[in-house]
Amino acid sequence: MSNPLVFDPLAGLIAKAGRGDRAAAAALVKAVSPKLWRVSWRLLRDAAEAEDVTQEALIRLWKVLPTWQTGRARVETWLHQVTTNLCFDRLRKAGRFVDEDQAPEPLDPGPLPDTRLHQSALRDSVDTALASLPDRQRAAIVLTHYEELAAKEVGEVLGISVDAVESLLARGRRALRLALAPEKADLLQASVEGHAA
Amino acid sequence: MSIMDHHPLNKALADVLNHASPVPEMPAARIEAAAMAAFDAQRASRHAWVKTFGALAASLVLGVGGFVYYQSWQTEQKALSADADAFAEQLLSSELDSEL
Repeated sequence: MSNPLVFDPLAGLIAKAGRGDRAAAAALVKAVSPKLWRVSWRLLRDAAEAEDVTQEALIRLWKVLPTWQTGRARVETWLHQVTTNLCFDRLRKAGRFVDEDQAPEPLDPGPLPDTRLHQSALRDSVDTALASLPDRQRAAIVLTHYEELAAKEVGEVLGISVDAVESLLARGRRALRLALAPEKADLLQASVEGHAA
Repeated sequence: MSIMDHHPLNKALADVLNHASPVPEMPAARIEAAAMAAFDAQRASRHAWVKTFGALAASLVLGVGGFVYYQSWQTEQKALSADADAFAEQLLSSELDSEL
């Protein structure tokens, strides 16, 4: 049975760029590169590496453009998949990739003194909490919460089922909740201030 | 799509994390310049390949066409010569020559 056609809002640009239209290619870069940058930065935590990965994903897009079949997949989903795999490859090469079964069980850090953390300390806590997640959990959290992809799309990106995505998310959220429990009040305050600003 | 995709807590968690730990600004100019340079390079190499292939195809068509034309011309010449020889033979063997 053939898959139903997938609507892709970038299909027009893809088709034009595939025919060599430079303006369409530039518009495509502007549309997708911020998303690729965000995902790669969140997964790698390194600006230089995130820049390399974003560029590499775009170069791979140019290579598949002439044979791209509109309606088979959304180009953004494909790009997220390429970006995530490139990030995982880099983490593996650097020996930084943490698999699910290698990650220690998250521990409740217990209550901290009732003092408001400074913004930089708060940022460090969030960075540490996210960085401590196994890489596939972090990817699932980033793609779902930051990029607002549906579980089905996250499954396509990571090459797993929707159930497996939900399992990764549940474990990731649990680990984040535990790791950030002492900073909960500061985090909520930061969120309220962020919205008020 | 699962219920979880629309759960308001997801957005709240993203908001909280994003405000506490924003992503640094993307080096847009560098990324865009590198991507467009790669696009131009690929387009140029494809253009060069199309030109080379076009020239090869044109040479092949001209070569084969020329050969076929030459062969047919040669056959035609042979046929004409044979006709002329036959006519001459016919003339010689006829009484026409002596009558003239």
